[in-house]
Amino acid sequence: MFAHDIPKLGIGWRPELAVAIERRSDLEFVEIVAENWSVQELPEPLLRLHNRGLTVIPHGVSLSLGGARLPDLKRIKRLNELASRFNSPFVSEHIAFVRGQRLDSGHLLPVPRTRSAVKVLVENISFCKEHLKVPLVLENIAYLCDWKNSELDEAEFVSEILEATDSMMLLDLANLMANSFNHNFDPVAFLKKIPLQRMAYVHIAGGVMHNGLYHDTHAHPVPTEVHKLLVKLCDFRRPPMIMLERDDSFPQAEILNEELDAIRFATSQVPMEAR
Amino acid sequence: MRETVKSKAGVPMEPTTPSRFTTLETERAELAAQQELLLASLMAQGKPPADIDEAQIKATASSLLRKRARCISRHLPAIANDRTYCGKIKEYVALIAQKIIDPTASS
Repeated sequence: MFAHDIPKLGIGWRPELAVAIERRSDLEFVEIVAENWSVQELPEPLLRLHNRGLTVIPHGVSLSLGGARLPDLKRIKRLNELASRFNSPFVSEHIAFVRGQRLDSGHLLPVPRTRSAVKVLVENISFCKEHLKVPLVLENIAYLCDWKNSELDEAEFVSEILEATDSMMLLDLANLMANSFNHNFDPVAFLKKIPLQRMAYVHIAGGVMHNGLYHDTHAHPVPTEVHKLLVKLCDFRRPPMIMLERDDSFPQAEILNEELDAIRFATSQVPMEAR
Repeated sequence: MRETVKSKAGVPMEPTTPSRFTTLETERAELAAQQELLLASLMAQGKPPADIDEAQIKATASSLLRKRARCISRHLPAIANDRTYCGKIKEYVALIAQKIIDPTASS
Protein backbone atom coordinates (compact mmCIF):
# COMPACT_ATOMS: atom_id res chain seq x y z
CA MET A 1 0.00 0.00 0.00
CA PHE A 2 1.25 3.46 -0.86
CA ALA A 3 0.98 6.53 1.31
CA HIS A 4 -1.31 8.20 -1.21
CA ASP A 5 -3.78 5.32 -0.83
CA ILE A 6 -4.41 6.21 2.80
CA PRO A 7 -7.55 8.32 3.05
CA LYS A 8 -7.20 11.88 4.24
CA LEU A 9 -8.49 12.17 7.80
CA GLY A 10 -10.85 14.98 8.79
CA ILE A 11 -13.46 16.07 11.31
CA GLY A 12 -16.55 18.22 11.51
CA TRP A 13 -15.32 21.52 12.89
CA ARG A 14 -17.31 22.70 15.91
CA PRO A 15 -16.32 25.55 18.28
CA GLU A 16 -16.40 23.13 21.23
CA LEU A 17 -13.77 20.94 19.53
CA ALA A 18 -11.58 23.77 18.21
CA VAL A 19 -8.67 23.26 20.61
CA ALA A 20 -8.53 19.48 20.22
CA ILE A 21 -8.71 19.81 16.44
CA GLU A 22 -5.97 22.41 16.30
CA ARG A 23 -3.65 20.24 18.40
CA ARG A 24 -4.04 17.25 16.13
CA SER A 25 -1.38 17.43 13.40
CA ASP A 26 -2.55 14.67 11.05
CA LEU A 27 -5.89 16.16 10.05
CA GLU A 28 -6.07 17.24 6.43
CA PHE A 29 -9.57 18.64 6.21
CA VAL A 30 -12.48 19.94 8.22
CA GLU A 31 -16.14 20.23 7.34
CA ILE A 32 -18.24 23.16 8.52
CA VAL A 33 -22.02 23.42 8.71
CA ALA A 34 -22.68 26.14 6.14
CA GLU A 35 -25.77 27.47 7.86
CA ASN A 36 -23.78 28.23 11.03
CA TRP A 37 -21.24 30.57 9.45
CA SER A 38 -21.01 33.53 7.14
CA VAL A 39 -17.87 34.76 5.40
CA GLN A 40 -18.18 38.02 7.34
CA GLU A 41 -17.89 36.25 10.71
CA LEU A 42 -15.58 33.29 10.66
CA PRO A 43 -13.97 31.99 13.85
CA GLU A 44 -10.23 32.54 14.24
CA PRO A 45 -9.37 28.89 15.04
CA LEU A 46 -11.03 27.80 11.80
CA LEU A 47 -9.15 30.44 9.81
CA ARG A 48 -5.88 29.27 11.39
CA LEU A 49 -6.58 25.71 10.23
CA HIS A 50 -7.26 27.00 6.74
CA ASN A 51 -4.05 29.01 6.77
CA ARG A 52 -2.23 25.86 7.93
CA GLY A 53 -3.33 24.23 4.68
CA LEU A 54 -6.35 22.20 5.79
CA THR A 55 -9.15 21.91 3.25
CA VAL A 56 -12.45 23.36 4.46
CA ILE A 57 -15.65 21.80 3.09
CA PRO A 58 -18.93 23.73 3.47
CA HIS A 59 -21.69 21.24 4.31
CA GLY A 60 -25.30 22.32 3.87
CA VAL A 61 -28.20 21.03 5.94
CA SER A 62 -31.10 23.14 4.68
CA LEU A 63 -31.14 23.22 0.87
CA SER A 64 -34.01 20.71 0.95
CA LEU A 65 -32.90 19.12 -2.32
CA GLY A 66 -35.79 16.69 -2.11
CA GLY A 67 -38.39 19.40 -1.53
CA ALA A 68 -41.30 20.04 -3.87
CA ARG A 69 -39.99 23.51 -4.67
CA LEU A 70 -36.71 24.52 -6.27
CA PRO A 71 -33.97 25.17 -3.67
CA ASP A 72 -33.58 28.70 -2.38
CA LEU A 73 -30.97 30.80 -4.22
CA LYS A 74 -29.97 32.57 -0.99
CA ARG A 75 -28.91 29.27 0.55
CA ILE A 76 -26.97 28.38 -2.60
CA LYS A 77 -25.30 31.80 -2.45
CA ARG A 78 -24.09 31.13 1.08
CA LEU A 79 -22.51 27.86 -0.02
CA ASN A 80 -20.85 29.68 -2.90
CA GLU A 81 -19.50 32.40 -0.62
CA LEU A 82 -17.99 29.92 1.83
CA ALA A 83 -16.55 27.77 -0.96
CA SER A 84 -14.94 30.86 -2.52
CA ARG A 85 -13.57 32.05 0.82
CA PHE A 86 -11.93 28.71 1.56
CA ASN A 87 -11.19 27.71 -2.02
CA SER A 88 -13.11 24.51 -1.29
CA PRO A 89 -12.94 21.73 -3.87
CA PHE A 90 -16.67 21.04 -3.43
CA VAL A 91 -19.65 21.55 -1.13
CA SER A 92 -22.00 18.85 0.15
CA GLU A 93 -25.70 18.45 0.96
CA HIS A 94 -28.22 15.72 1.77
CA ILE A 95 -30.64 13.75 -0.34
CA ALA A 96 -33.54 14.82 1.84
CA PHE A 97 -36.28 17.34 2.32
CA VAL A 98 -36.45 19.74 5.23
CA ARG A 99 -39.53 21.88 4.65
CA GLY A 100 -42.83 22.00 2.86
CA GLN A 101 -44.92 24.92 1.67
CA ARG A 102 -45.73 26.01 5.22
CA LEU A 103 -43.80 24.01 7.80
CA ASP A 104 -40.04 23.78 8.25
CA SER A 105 -38.95 20.80 10.35
CA GLY A 106 -35.34 21.92 10.69
CA HIS A 107 -34.53 18.26 10.21
CA LEU A 108 -33.47 16.02 7.32
CA LEU A 109 -36.45 13.89 6.30
CA PRO A 110 -36.65 11.06 3.76
CA VAL A 111 -38.01 11.67 0.27
CA PRO A 112 -40.46 9.04 -1.04
CA ARG A 113 -38.33 6.68 -3.12
CA THR A 114 -40.52 6.88 -6.23
CA ARG A 115 -39.60 7.51 -9.89
CA SER A 116 -41.64 10.68 -9.68
CA ALA A 117 -39.66 12.00 -6.68
CA VAL A 118 -36.37 11.08 -8.37
CA LYS A 119 -37.32 13.36 -11.28
CA VAL A 120 -37.90 16.26 -8.90
CA LEU A 121 -34.68 15.58 -6.99
CA VAL A 122 -32.69 15.42 -10.22
CA GLU A 123 -34.14 18.72 -11.38
CA ASN A 124 -33.51 20.41 -8.00
CA ILE A 125 -29.94 19.14 -7.88
CA SER A 126 -29.32 20.22 -11.48
CA PHE A 127 -30.67 23.66 -10.56
CA CYS A 128 -28.21 23.90 -7.65
CA LYS A 129 -25.32 22.70 -9.79
CA GLU A 130 -26.04 25.41 -12.34
CA HIS A 131 -25.73 28.05 -9.65
CA LEU A 132 -22.87 26.59 -7.65
CA LYS A 133 -19.27 27.48 -8.43
CA VAL A 134 -17.97 24.11 -7.22
CA PRO A 135 -19.31 20.54 -7.48
CA LEU A 136 -22.15 19.46 -5.19
CA VAL A 137 -21.54 16.19 -3.33
CA LEU A 138 -24.64 14.28 -2.16
CA GLU A 139 -25.11 12.49 1.16
CA ASN A 140 -27.39 9.60 2.17
CA ILE A 141 -29.42 10.39 5.30
CA ALA A 142 -30.56 8.41 8.34
CA TYR A 143 -34.33 8.11 8.70
CA LEU A 144 -36.52 6.61 11.39
CA CYS A 145 -39.69 6.75 9.31
CA ASP A 146 -39.87 5.33 5.82
CA TRP A 147 -42.37 5.43 2.95
CA LYS A 148 -44.20 2.17 2.28
CA ASN A 149 -44.93 3.10 -1.35
CA SER A 150 -41.25 2.97 -2.36
CA GLU A 151 -40.59 1.86 -5.93
CA LEU A 152 -36.83 1.74 -5.35
CA ASP A 153 -34.71 0.50 -2.50
CA GLU A 154 -32.34 3.02 -0.96
CA ALA A 155 -29.29 1.88 -2.94
CA GLU A 156 -31.20 2.11 -6.23
CA PHE A 157 -32.61 5.49 -5.25
CA VAL A 158 -29.21 6.97 -4.36
CA SER A 159 -27.51 5.41 -7.39
CA GLU A 160 -30.11 6.76 -9.83
CA ILE A 161 -29.74 10.26 -8.44
CA LEU A 162 -25.94 10.15 -8.51
CA GLU A 163 -25.87 8.86 -12.08
CA ALA A 164 -28.61 11.15 -13.41
CA THR A 165 -26.96 14.25 -11.97
CA ASP A 166 -23.39 13.03 -12.53
CA SER A 167 -22.63 13.75 -8.86
CA MET A 168 -20.11 12.47 -6.37
CA MET A 169 -21.30 10.97 -3.08
CA LEU A 170 -20.74 11.68 0.57
CA LEU A 171 -21.26 8.20 1.97
CA ASP A 172 -22.41 8.39 5.59
CA LEU A 173 -21.65 4.95 7.01
CA ALA A 174 -23.34 5.71 10.33
CA ASN A 175 -26.54 6.62 8.47
CA LEU A 176 -26.26 3.45 6.43
CA MET A 177 -25.76 1.35 9.57
CA ALA A 178 -28.72 3.06 11.29
CA ASN A 179 -31.05 2.53 8.33
CA SER A 180 -30.00 -1.07 7.81
CA PHE A 181 -30.70 -1.84 11.47
CA ASN A 182 -33.96 0.11 11.76
CA HIS A 183 -35.36 -0.97 8.39
CA ASN A 184 -33.88 -4.42 8.22
CA PHE A 185 -31.65 -4.52 5.15
CA ASP A 186 -28.09 -5.61 4.49
CA PRO A 187 -25.66 -2.65 4.56
CA VAL A 188 -23.01 -4.62 2.67
CA ALA A 189 -25.48 -5.31 -0.14
CA PHE A 190 -26.07 -1.55 -0.22
CA LEU A 191 -22.32 -0.94 -0.62
CA LYS A 192 -22.17 -3.47 -3.43
CA LYS A 193 -25.04 -1.79 -5.25
CA ILE A 194 -24.02 1.89 -5.21
CA PRO A 195 -21.39 3.39 -7.56
CA LEU A 196 -18.47 3.50 -5.13
CA GLN A 197 -16.28 5.11 -7.78
CA ARG A 198 -18.40 8.21 -7.14
CA MET A 199 -17.42 8.30 -3.45
CA ALA A 200 -15.89 11.72 -2.60
CA TYR A 201 -15.70 11.26 1.16
CA VAL A 202 -17.14 9.37 4.10
CA HIS A 203 -18.87 10.38 7.34
CA ILE A 204 -18.45 8.36 10.52
CA ALA A 205 -20.50 9.17 13.63
CA GLY A 206 -21.86 7.72 16.83
CA GLY A 207 -25.35 7.00 18.02
CA VAL A 208 -27.39 5.16 20.61
CA MET A 209 -30.12 2.55 20.93
CA HIS A 210 -33.41 3.96 22.22
CA ASN A 211 -36.67 2.00 22.45
CA GLY A 212 -35.39 -0.67 20.07
CA LEU A 213 -34.27 1.76 17.38
CA TYR A 214 -30.78 3.01 16.61
CA HIS A 215 -30.58 6.81 16.71
CA ASP A 216 -27.81 8.55 14.77
CA THR A 217 -27.22 11.24 17.39
CA HIS A 218 -23.64 12.38 16.69
CA ALA A 219 -23.53 12.67 20.47
CA HIS A 220 -22.36 9.18 21.41
CA PRO A 221 -19.29 7.03 20.67
CA VAL A 222 -18.94 5.42 17.24
CA PRO A 223 -20.28 1.84 17.60
CA THR A 224 -18.28 -1.22 16.56
CA GLU A 225 -20.79 -1.94 13.79
CA VAL A 226 -19.85 1.30 12.02
CA HIS A 227 -16.13 0.48 12.30
CA LYS A 228 -16.81 -2.96 10.84
CA LEU A 229 -18.71 -1.39 7.97
CA LEU A 230 -15.81 0.96 7.37
CA VAL A 231 -13.37 -1.95 7.14
CA LYS A 232 -15.77 -3.67 4.73
CA LEU A 233 -16.02 -0.52 2.63
CA CYS A 234 -12.21 -0.31 2.45
CA ASP A 235 -12.19 -3.92 1.24
CA PHE A 236 -14.35 -2.81 -1.69
CA ARG A 237 -12.87 0.60 -2.27
CA ARG A 238 -10.85 2.91 -0.08
CA PRO A 239 -12.47 6.35 0.26
CA PRO A 240 -10.28 9.34 -0.66
CA MET A 241 -11.30 11.21 2.50
CA ILE A 242 -12.99 10.21 5.74
CA MET A 243 -14.14 12.21 8.74
CA LEU A 244 -15.66 12.02 12.19
CA GLU A 245 -18.81 13.94 13.09
CA ARG A 246 -19.51 14.93 16.67
CA ASP A 247 -22.22 17.49 17.32
CA ASP A 248 -23.14 17.18 20.98
CA SER A 249 -22.02 15.78 24.37
CA PHE A 250 -18.52 16.71 23.32
CA PRO A 251 -15.90 14.34 24.73
CA GLN A 252 -12.51 15.20 26.17
CA ALA A 253 -9.64 15.48 23.70
CA GLU A 254 -8.23 12.02 24.43
CA ILE A 255 -11.57 10.35 23.72
CA LEU A 256 -11.93 12.32 20.52
CA ASN A 257 -8.39 11.34 19.51
CA GLU A 258 -9.16 7.68 20.19
CA GLU A 259 -12.15 7.91 17.84
CA LEU A 260 -9.99 9.52 15.14
CA ASP A 261 -7.25 6.93 15.69
CA ALA A 262 -9.79 4.13 15.30
CA ILE A 263 -10.84 5.55 11.92
CA ARG A 264 -7.20 5.91 10.91
CA PHE A 265 -6.53 2.31 11.93
CA ALA A 266 -9.56 0.89 10.11
CA THR A 267 -8.72 2.70 6.87
CA SER A 268 -5.02 1.79 7.01
CA GLN A 269 -5.64 -1.95 6.79
CA VAL A 270 -4.60 -3.65 3.56
CA PRO A 271 -7.64 -4.16 1.33
CA MET A 272 -8.76 -7.69 0.41
CA GLU A 273 -7.81 -7.37 -3.25
CA ALA A 274 -4.20 -6.50 -2.29
CA ARG A 275 -3.72 -9.44 0.07
CA MET B 1 -21.64 26.51 -13.71
CA ARG B 2 -23.40 29.02 -15.87
CA GLU B 3 -21.94 32.42 -16.70
CA THR B 4 -22.61 35.37 -14.42
CA VAL B 5 -25.34 37.59 -15.81
CA LYS B 6 -24.42 41.28 -15.89
CA SER B 7 -26.65 44.33 -16.15
CA LYS B 8 -26.12 47.03 -18.77
CA ALA B 9 -23.89 48.80 -16.25
CA GLY B 10 -21.76 45.67 -15.99
CA VAL B 11 -22.90 44.88 -12.43
CA PRO B 12 -23.34 41.14 -11.71
CA MET B 13 -27.01 40.33 -11.17
CA GLU B 14 -28.65 37.65 -9.07
CA PRO B 15 -29.37 34.70 -11.33
CA THR B 16 -33.03 34.22 -12.11
CA THR B 17 -34.84 30.90 -12.10
CA PRO B 18 -34.40 29.39 -15.57
CA SER B 19 -37.70 28.40 -17.17
CA ARG B 20 -36.42 24.91 -17.94
CA PHE B 21 -36.54 24.19 -14.20
CA THR B 22 -40.23 24.94 -13.88
CA THR B 23 -41.44 21.69 -15.38
CA LEU B 24 -42.65 18.60 -13.45
CA GLU B 25 -45.73 20.33 -12.07
CA THR B 26 -47.58 17.05 -11.49
CA GLU B 27 -44.61 15.38 -9.81
CA ARG B 28 -43.98 18.41 -7.60
CA ALA B 29 -47.64 18.65 -6.57
CA GLU B 30 -47.70 14.96 -5.64
CA LEU B 31 -44.49 15.30 -3.65
CA ALA B 32 -45.72 18.46 -1.91
CA ALA B 33 -48.88 16.69 -0.76
CA GLN B 34 -46.93 13.74 0.66
CA GLN B 35 -44.43 15.98 2.42
CA GLU B 36 -47.07 18.30 3.89
CA LEU B 37 -48.79 15.32 5.50
CA LEU B 38 -45.55 14.06 7.02
CA LEU B 39 -44.59 17.50 8.31
CA ALA B 40 -48.02 18.09 9.83
CA SER B 41 -47.96 14.70 11.56
CA LEU B 42 -44.49 15.38 12.97
CA MET B 43 -45.01 18.98 14.01
CA ALA B 44 -48.70 19.83 14.24
CA GLN B 45 -50.11 16.57 15.63
CA GLY B 46 -51.75 15.96 12.25
CA LYS B 47 -52.96 12.58 11.00
CA PRO B 48 -50.01 10.42 9.83
CA PRO B 49 -49.70 9.74 6.09
CA ALA B 50 -51.24 6.38 5.19
CA ASP B 51 -48.00 5.18 3.65
CA ILE B 52 -45.84 5.64 6.76
CA ASP B 53 -46.02 3.44 9.82
CA GLU B 54 -47.52 5.36 12.75
CA ALA B 55 -44.96 4.02 15.23
CA GLN B 56 -42.17 5.30 12.99
CA ILE B 57 -43.80 8.74 12.89
CA LYS B 58 -43.95 8.77 16.68
CA ALA B 59 -40.30 7.74 16.94
CA THR B 60 -39.27 10.48 14.50
CA ALA B 61 -41.36 13.12 16.28
CA SER B 62 -39.89 12.08 19.61
CA SER B 63 -36.36 12.17 18.19
CA LEU B 64 -36.98 15.65 16.77
CA LEU B 65 -38.23 16.81 20.13
CA ARG B 66 -35.15 15.52 21.96
CA LYS B 67 -32.93 17.17 19.33
CA ARG B 68 -34.64 20.53 19.88
CA ALA B 69 -34.50 20.08 23.64
CA ARG B 70 -30.74 19.36 23.52
CA CYS B 71 -30.20 22.37 21.32
CA ILE B 72 -32.11 24.75 23.59
CA SER B 73 -30.64 23.38 26.81
CA ARG B 74 -27.14 23.95 25.43
CA HIS B 75 -27.92 27.66 25.33
CA LEU B 76 -30.07 27.70 28.47
CA PRO B 77 -28.65 24.95 30.73
CA ALA B 78 -30.94 25.81 33.66
CA ILE B 79 -34.02 24.92 31.64
CA ALA B 80 -32.75 21.35 31.10
CA ASN B 81 -33.40 20.60 34.78
CA ASP B 82 -37.09 21.21 34.31
CA ARG B 83 -38.64 17.76 33.85
CA THR B 84 -41.68 19.18 32.11
CA TYR B 85 -39.47 20.96 29.61
CA CYS B 86 -39.80 18.49 26.70
CA GLY B 87 -43.57 18.47 26.99
CA LYS B 88 -43.65 22.27 26.96
CA ILE B 89 -41.55 22.38 23.79
CA LYS B 90 -43.82 19.82 22.17
CA GLU B 91 -46.90 21.91 23.00
CA TYR B 92 -45.19 25.07 21.77
CA VAL B 93 -44.07 23.56 18.44
CA ALA B 94 -47.52 22.08 17.82
CA LEU B 95 -49.18 25.40 18.60
CA ILE B 96 -46.94 27.36 16.24
CA ALA B 97 -47.22 24.71 13.50
CA GLN B 98 -51.02 24.62 13.76
CA LYS B 99 -51.14 28.41 13.52
CA ILE B 100 -48.99 28.29 10.39
CA ILE B 101 -51.24 25.68 8.81
CA ASP B 102 -54.43 27.50 9.79
CA PRO B 103 -53.89 31.14 10.85
CA THR B 104 -57.60 31.52 11.61
CA ALA B 105 -57.63 28.71 14.19
CA SER B 106 -57.99 29.81 17.83
CA SER B 107 -55.21 28.75 20.18
